[in-house]
Amino acid sequence: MSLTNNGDKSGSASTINDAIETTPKVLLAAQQLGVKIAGKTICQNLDLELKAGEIWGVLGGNGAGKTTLLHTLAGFREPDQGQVLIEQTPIKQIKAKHRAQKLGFLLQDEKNAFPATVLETALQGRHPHLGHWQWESIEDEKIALKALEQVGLSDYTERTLDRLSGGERQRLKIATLLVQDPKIWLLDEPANHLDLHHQISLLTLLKEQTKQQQGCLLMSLHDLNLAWRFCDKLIFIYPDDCTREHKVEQGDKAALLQAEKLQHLYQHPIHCLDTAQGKVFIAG
Amino acid sequence: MIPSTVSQQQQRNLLYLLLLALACLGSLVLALTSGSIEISLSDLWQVITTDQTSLQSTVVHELRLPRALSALIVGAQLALAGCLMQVLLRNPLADPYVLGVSGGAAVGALFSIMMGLGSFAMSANAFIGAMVNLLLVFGLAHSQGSWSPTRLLLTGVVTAAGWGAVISFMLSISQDHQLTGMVFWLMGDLSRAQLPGQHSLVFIICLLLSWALARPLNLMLRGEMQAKALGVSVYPLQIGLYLLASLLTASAVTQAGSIGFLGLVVPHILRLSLGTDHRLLLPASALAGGCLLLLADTLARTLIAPQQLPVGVITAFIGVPVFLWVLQKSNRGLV
Repeated sequence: MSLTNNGDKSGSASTINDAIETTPKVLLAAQQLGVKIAGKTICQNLDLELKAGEIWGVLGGNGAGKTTLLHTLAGFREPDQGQVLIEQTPIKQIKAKHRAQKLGFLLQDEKNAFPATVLETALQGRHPHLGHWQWESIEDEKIALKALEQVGLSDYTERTLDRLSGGERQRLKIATLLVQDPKIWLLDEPANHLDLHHQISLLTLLKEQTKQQQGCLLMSLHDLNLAWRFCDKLIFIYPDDCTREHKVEQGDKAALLQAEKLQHLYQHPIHCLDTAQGKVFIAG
Repeated sequence: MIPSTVSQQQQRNLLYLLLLALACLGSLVLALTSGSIEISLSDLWQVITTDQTSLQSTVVHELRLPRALSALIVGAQLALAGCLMQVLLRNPLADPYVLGVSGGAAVGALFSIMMGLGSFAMSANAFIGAMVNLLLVFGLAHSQGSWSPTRLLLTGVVTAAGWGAVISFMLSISQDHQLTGMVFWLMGDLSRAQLPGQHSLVFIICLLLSWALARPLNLMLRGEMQAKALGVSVYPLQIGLYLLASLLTASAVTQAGSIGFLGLVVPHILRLSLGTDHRLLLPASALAGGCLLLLADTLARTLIAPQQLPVGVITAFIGVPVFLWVLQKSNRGLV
């Protein structure tokens, strides 16, 4: 059972080099985005460009609007101003099925009225790629079994969802996304319910996948250490009562993950320590 | 042990559907041969293949065949509608009547009985009542712009309660000689059944349309957002489901009154034994529902012959123990 993708390392390095030479393509963009929920402004005039090969993190306190921002970027809800574009096409003009071929979303919570099996659930990721009356093929099944192996659920294929733990269900959701195989990944708290080992191994897997396939990934996180380790760029959504000029700030992780900014973000003192293993963040 | 590869699963599905179709055929033969005049299998073959006029031929063609075909169609419609309703409302307790379709139809039918109208007017009024309910619940659940399953469920349940009050009122003011007919209608009864011509057309169209939606329905079980994330246009799908389930129920209720229990239990029995894939579940529900109602109706008219029981009593008598047994044996979770 291998949890990390030990695929062709040299191959992935060369793709990255190729991508650096040419300007990376913008996969997902927001233009002058304004999002409000229940009368509360989450962002205004937000311009955002997610380029091929980039991994972004969204950080903010509870109720700051991370999920709402992600849902807006995925086209699940209308922005109050501005627009979202997938590869230059406004997301509103893209059919739901075509959107799902390009953009995958990891939802925070999930309901199961009548639980299906693990394999059936993973196979549902093929839905956007199948024709109307088409059944999943042997190829689709191979893709699903491989994804289940990557998240360490190979032994559970026939189990029903109600017999999985929270962490196993989270891994299954990630497997469904791997099966869906989108270019743009939007993940709402992917580290939820996962133990330390799986947090690291699955985020490593997703990072390698994004770099190799020149996709892009945006995830909301609560763990600063994970954000430091896995993200290239960050978006901070500051709380309402914060006195900062901009409510939403974006930039390279090194510029944003500073004690003073984090103090504003969480309204709580946070210490940054430089250790032999790298930067470490500790709540004061 | 459930086979693991996709192709095995497809073969398994075909096999199940074939077995259920055979069961339907078997119960049809049983229904045509049994009754106050026993008809042997060879006689039945003769009656069907040759063009003779005998007592047996009249019994089969004029009485038993229309009733048996009605039972098949009504049972199939109710089970299919129940299955769709359970997905739409994402609630295991949902049945075809939960949103008040049968209540509206019942008020129409009871009104016709009270006025002493004929059976055609009764069917027409029942159908009108069902359609009034369909539009009423849809309009009310829709009014605020948001349209969640919970909102729809509450609107429907309360509307159904309203119809219930009207029904009780009508029962209490109607005359004694009308009451038996009313109670039979309310419990579900196939004795008025005619050849289900246009109703079978409604059924076939609804079955094909809902079968075409089977894969999106599988995604809907994991929540609207998850379905959306995987590329389903959720809102049109929900409206389609609501219309299909309501139309099927209206058509079934118009033919045979509100036969209880079938629409709730058949989809659950199949889910517990065959799994939750709607590509199998929808046609399987239709076949099993038809088969079960036909068997129940055959029992209803032979058990204490020449007296007839309302078939709704029998469906509950068969359905309750079968359901509890399957629930005990099943290793699949329900919720």
